[in-house]
Amino acid sequence: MTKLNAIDRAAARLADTREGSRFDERERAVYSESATFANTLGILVALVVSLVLASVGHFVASFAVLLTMAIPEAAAAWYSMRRGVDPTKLRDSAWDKLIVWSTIVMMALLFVAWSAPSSLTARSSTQGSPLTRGPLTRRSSSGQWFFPVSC
Amino acid sequence: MVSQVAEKAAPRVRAARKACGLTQAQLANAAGVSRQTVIAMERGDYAPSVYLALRIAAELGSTVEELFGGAPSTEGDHP
Repeated sequence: MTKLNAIDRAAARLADTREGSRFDERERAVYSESATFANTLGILVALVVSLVLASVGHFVASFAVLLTMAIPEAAAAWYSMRRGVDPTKLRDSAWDKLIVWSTIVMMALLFVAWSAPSSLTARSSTQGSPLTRGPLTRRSSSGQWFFPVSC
Repeated sequence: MVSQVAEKAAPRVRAARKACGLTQAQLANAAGVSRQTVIAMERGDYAPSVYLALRIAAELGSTVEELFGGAPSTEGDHP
C-alpha cells in the first residue's frame, strides 16, 4: 500500500480504522460492513423522505434532504478513491444492482415531482395539507381563524 | 473462497487449540484479538488475515498451511 499523506491520515484518524486501534481485524471488518449498511439504508430513506416532501410541494426541503444524503455518499467515494478503490466497481452483485436501480428509479420520481409542481402542489394546497398550509392566523376584519395557503 | 477456507480451518483451529490446552480466551489474548474473533474462526464464520493466521499458528505450535491450507484435516497430529 502506498504511504498515506496528511489528508489520508487525518481521514483515517477520523474514521478510526487504523491498525492498532481498539478493534481487531474482524471487528473492523464488521464495523465497516455496518457503516455500509447504514449508508445504503440512509440513502434509501432520504430518497423516500425527499420524494414525499417534493410531492407535497416542499421543494427546498426536498432538495436539502437530497443534498444531506449526498454528503456521506460523496465522502465515502472520496475516501475510497484516495485509497485506490473505485466504489462503483464494487457494486456488481444482484443485490447491489437492485439498490442502484432502486436509487435511479427514486431519483427519476424525484425529478418528476420537482418538475411537476403545478398538479401536486395545487391539489395538496387546496386540500389544506398540514405540510403546505401556513400557521393558524386570525382574520382582522371578521375575527375568524384560518390557515393561509401558500402557493 | 474465503468462506471455504474458514469452514475448512474451523475444526483444525479448534483441535489444535485443545491439543495445546488453551482456552479461547487465552488464544485470543495471545494472538491479540477478541474472544469473539476466535469463536468466529472456530465456527467457520471468519477467515483471518495472513498476519493473524501467522500469529495463531505460532501460538498453537503449528503452521499456516496446516491450519488454513487446502490439505485435508489431520486432526490429532497437532502438538
